[in-house]
Amino acid sequence: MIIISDSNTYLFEKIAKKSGIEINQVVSLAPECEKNIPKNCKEIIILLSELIYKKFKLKNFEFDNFDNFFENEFKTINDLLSNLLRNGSVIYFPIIPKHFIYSDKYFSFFYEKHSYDNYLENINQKLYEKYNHFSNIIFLKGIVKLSPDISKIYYRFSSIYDEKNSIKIISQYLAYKESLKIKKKKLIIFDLDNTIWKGIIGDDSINGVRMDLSDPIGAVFNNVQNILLKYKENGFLLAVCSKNDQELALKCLFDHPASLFSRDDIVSYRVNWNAKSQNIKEICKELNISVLDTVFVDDSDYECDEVRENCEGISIFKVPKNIYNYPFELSNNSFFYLGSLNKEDKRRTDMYKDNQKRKDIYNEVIKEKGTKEKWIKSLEIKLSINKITPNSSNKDRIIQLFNRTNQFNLTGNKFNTLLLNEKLIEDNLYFYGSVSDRIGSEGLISVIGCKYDGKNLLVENYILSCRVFGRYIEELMLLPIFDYAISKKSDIYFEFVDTGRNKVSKEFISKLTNNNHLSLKNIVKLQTKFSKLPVEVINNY
Amino acid sequence: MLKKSDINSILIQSINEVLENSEQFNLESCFIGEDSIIESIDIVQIISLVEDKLEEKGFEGFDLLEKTFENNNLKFSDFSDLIEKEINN
Repeated sequence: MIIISDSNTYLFEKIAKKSGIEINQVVSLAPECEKNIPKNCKEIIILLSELIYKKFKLKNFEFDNFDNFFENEFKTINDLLSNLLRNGSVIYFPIIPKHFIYSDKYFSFFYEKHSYDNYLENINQKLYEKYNHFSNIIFLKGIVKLSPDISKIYYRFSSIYDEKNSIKIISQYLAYKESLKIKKKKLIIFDLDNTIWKGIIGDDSINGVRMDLSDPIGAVFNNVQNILLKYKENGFLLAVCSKNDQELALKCLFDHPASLFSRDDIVSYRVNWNAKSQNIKEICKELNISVLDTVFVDDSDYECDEVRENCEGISIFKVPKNIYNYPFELSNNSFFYLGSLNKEDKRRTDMYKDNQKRKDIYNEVIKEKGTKEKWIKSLEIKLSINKITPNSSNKDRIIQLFNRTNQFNLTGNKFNTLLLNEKLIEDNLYFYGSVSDRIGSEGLISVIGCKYDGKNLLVENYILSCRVFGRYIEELMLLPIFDYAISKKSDIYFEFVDTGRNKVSKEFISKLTNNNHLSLKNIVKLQTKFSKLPVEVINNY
Repeated sequence: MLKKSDINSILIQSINEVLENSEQFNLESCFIGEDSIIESIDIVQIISLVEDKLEEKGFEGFDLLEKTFENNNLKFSDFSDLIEKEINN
């Protein structure tokens, strides 16, 4: 890690080293200081203090000229961030804390007319607004407010980073790194009665269940519905599993005036009297999602136990006994943590629904004794292949795809921004594929990466979303690698690692290769064969 | 009043907390001066920590930093004498 700072960071460095963080270099914040930072630098932390506080100390400091202040005084930091973000390094930026002298100290309960606190909040807000859309900048919550206890260190060391504050920032950095390891879920399957409305539809009738804002308990369930729909917006798929009369339950779910759900929100449902574990397994099979990636929400101890017993590895969220805690617990449970969002997340339910349409077309074509080729042709599939660079704007989605893909995943490798940047910086060849057809867009669905050792080409990563299996995308994503191998007159080796969950990948590679190896002769043959497949390939690499 | 042994104990604790290779030092090691192998920033930190620990024992408001740097050379034992002189005066 490299530290860039406008103040003394000696204590921070010391504590970072004790916490196992390697500090490679400390760079003083100055115009064009980014030139002192190596291009392949992976992590940078920017520790600001005096840049702002020294302005507060000026006799003629003006509160009104905020925009001027930001443009002029922050030019160095703006230039620095703009240049560093393009390099692909991950930048940690603890927000600037309120000062212990230059603060609203007389009356801490309101903003004074010339408020230092408000001024600092505006600076942090402006920086956040300006740079938050970059995937490789992480705004840490930082120290928040400097305590007067820091006075001695502040004056003797010219630094706000004493032991306590350094530990605070380092803990936030380490906690962020831990959060990257959380295995993200994909599907929420929920019960209906006493889970998304109060009451039992079979006993209380549609008019008897409560989910509207006019009564306190109804408001709790209304809030729960809102939270589930927010999760759907963020990329979760929503499905229903309930022991109920199907017609009655779906009528209540979609037509009750207070229900927030529409048919488009629910990707699949099983409303019947079968065991819930059986229904859940069916839904997972239909959506091609593992129970390991699924959260089940129910109010009954019995149902939760039955599902836990029979769907090994599923995550279970039980509705709390104190119903008023339900919205808070649902919105704060780590099962529902998804990290940063991308445009594919927001369209995930639509994409699964589109896939259902494709299956319907497939069934129609097969019924008419058509072939797979005929079906693929009828879909008018376009595959766009692009090279991934450190500046690629969709690195978040690429990382997410690596971390969510298990079945077609050559090695099972998981990535974060840091590891991906490492791959890209090392001049390896990485490509992503995006698919669209006449039904809709599937977005970014595949990544392939290889390195050239001077003799052979080694495919070290190859992933494909389960949504597009069997549409020749797995074959066509190899084309850029084939092109490169042919240009270098080299063979290709696939570095397959059996993870126990990547059988699809294993079968594909074993059919395609001879012991994970493709000779140049075979590469040329396959290239000719694949170029005739009924998919339009748009080559952007 | 603080006994000399208490002052030495505070000093040793501070050395242990600040210096990674604290086992290399004892009261006869050079604290400041040409022969000191301690980084200046660690020196300031040791002084600050001693002041904090003295404050915890009720000896508030001592600025040992200036007094220390009035000397060109000090061993830890000299620094201990300086502390004793300051707080017991």
